[in-house]
Amino acid sequence: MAKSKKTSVDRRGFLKGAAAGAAALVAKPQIADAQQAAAQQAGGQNGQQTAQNRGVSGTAAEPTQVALARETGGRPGGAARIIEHPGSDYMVDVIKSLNIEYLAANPGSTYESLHESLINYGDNKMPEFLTCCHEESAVAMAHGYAKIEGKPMMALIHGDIGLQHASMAIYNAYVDRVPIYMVVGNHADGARRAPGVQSLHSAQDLGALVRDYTKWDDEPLSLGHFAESAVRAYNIAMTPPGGPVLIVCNAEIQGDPMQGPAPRIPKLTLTTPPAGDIAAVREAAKILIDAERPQIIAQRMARTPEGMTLLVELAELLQAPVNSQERMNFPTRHPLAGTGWQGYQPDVTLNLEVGDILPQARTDRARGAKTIQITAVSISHKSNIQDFGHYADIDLDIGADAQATLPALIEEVKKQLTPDRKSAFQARGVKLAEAHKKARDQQIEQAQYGWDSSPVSLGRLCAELWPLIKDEDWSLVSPQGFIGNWPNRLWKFDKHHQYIGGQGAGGMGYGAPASVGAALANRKHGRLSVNIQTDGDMNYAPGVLWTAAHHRIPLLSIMHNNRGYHQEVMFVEDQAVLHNRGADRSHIGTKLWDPNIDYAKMAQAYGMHGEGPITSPDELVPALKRGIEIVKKGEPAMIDVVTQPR
Amino acid sequence: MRLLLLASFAALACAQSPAGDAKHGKELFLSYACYSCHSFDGHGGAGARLVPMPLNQAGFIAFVRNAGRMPSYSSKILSDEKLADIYAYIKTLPASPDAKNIPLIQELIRE
Repeated sequence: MAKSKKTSVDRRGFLKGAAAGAAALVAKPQIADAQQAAAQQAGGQNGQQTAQNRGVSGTAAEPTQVALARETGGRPGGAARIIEHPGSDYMVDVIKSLNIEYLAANPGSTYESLHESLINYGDNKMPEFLTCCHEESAVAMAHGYAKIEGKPMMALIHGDIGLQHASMAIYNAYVDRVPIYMVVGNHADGARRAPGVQSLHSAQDLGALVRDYTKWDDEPLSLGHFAESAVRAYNIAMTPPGGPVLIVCNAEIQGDPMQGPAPRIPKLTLTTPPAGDIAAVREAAKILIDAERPQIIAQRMARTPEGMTLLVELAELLQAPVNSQERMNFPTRHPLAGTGWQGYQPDVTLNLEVGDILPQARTDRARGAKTIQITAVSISHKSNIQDFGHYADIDLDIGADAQATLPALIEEVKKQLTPDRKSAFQARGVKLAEAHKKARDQQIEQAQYGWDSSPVSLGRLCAELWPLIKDEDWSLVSPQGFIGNWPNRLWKFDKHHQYIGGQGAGGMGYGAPASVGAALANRKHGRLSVNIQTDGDMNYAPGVLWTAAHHRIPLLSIMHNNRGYHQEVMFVEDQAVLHNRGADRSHIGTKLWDPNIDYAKMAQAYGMHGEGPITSPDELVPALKRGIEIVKKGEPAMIDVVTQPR
Repeated sequence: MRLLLLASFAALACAQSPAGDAKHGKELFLSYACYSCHSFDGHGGAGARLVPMPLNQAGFIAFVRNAGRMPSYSSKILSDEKLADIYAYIKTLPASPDAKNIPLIQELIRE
């Protein structure tokens, strides 16, 4: 194979220098030569040595100076080497074709060539590099971003060590059906990788580490293969049910020089979401129209604002209550929001993208009700991780994306709806509206309990916050499960971007980085992002606060600082009582006190406004106002509020 | 439903026990993590509201021994004396203001 003269000479000189400095290498020149030749053969289409095969002249047993420098974290000196058109430049062209705004990454040498190409050849635009302090933060930021923006952000990950750091965040996104675009560096070619850290950070089948909860992965063997897989991966991530995808990007392909014309970049055409079979949809419409007390349960249903609009139309046609969970599926103050009046026993439930449907199906069966399910997850199962939940008795199971199926279902309901049923629906709607108003008033009144308490009650916190944000274009970018769902109970949610839902797989450490990612997506829309941040979650990877400060991501974080993993306090207490011993020891291993963590100082240390701890409700509003002022100027801020447990 | 259950225990209890030690009761309320479900001021959270306490002391002890959703504490874990102390502490906790007297809550209801 032909060699690039300049590169060859440079590399030769470099390797000679390395060999001259290592007496051990001199003793085995033939072996070194043979390995070098093999490395050249393995060096891609032209057999050149590149930035990635430096050090290959040494054996695994006897490392070169280059390898030794690598192992000790240093960089070798040597003669000048220039690769003007590395493969990673072309990879940037491919990535740019996908219109990805940002990439989040913790730096690592397995993708160093691509890193450099992204910031110089790609001018650090589309995507723009976001410096992260942990791979879990990078992936969770992408998770939060996608929930607002409806498309993937990229996470660039360093070899097997970075991927293992990222793994929990990947799993959360997988269960949450959220698209994330991951590129992971690797030193696949054993003959070209240096001993030591390059071996430690590489894998034979890197994608296998997270394959059980990654929607699709590939390890391209050439630039043309990279282009095809990169575009395919984006499409797969976006096709419902969405999910994280992963491209393993070998250092050799990144760093080898481009030869000849660049491979064509395939056109990205998103696959249309799977919609329900029309005969099944027709049957669903009939069952719903015939029902006396239907109920709609929506979890990960509304992928986009259009999903909300469609669900409102269906609910109003049927005059059926909507129990919305996990996503912003339905306006919280719509008269049909809720579960119906007291004693409302559904005779049909329509379950839209509901996770583990067994509890609902079991309840339906016990009362003789019918269960209809529409979910794309039915046609996209894996085996190992049990996120698919239980098998359940379903009367009509439509394997399709619920949002994509709603237009047909709405049309079928319109077609089949008779004046008699319409009249009955209207009467039901009046009763449901009354029940909604009554339930809502009761929920708001509940905020009175602990109103004057210190530590601050979560009801008081959320009640005081609402008047300060309600006239802004606000967005709650944190889960509500650990804050008593107080925002849902008190605030008026009527836009898709106003709530991003929960963790997905319930993995803690999601909240802080997801809120930063969602706030990043909200930034260009000028929205006020609010994160009610639990303390246990905050402490997984607090470095994401620095990322928010460094990249000027406006985000108001309010600590729900109950000084512990509160749910676990209750669980351990429960177990102690069950075992009839030591119920005064449930704080062991569950509390975050002695010393108390100072979140205001933590925020300040990472470069953002921080104040607190606030323990009295009277101090709350002035502090929240100061925080909002800072966030509206484009900076993050944190207010530490010491709170009641829940 | 929860209040009905509490009330039934109140009806069962007929004897008044000696007054407990509220100061010790506070220590027990914290160390036995009563606050984790009922909040530091007894205004509820994951668990029921304790303020205002609808039970007399004997009814309270009977309830804790045979709770429903809440774990049932045996006398080995919490003696009657300790529960009497906790009860005394709960009785010192102030009630919340009525929602009707909280302007912000009324504003939220009117929205």
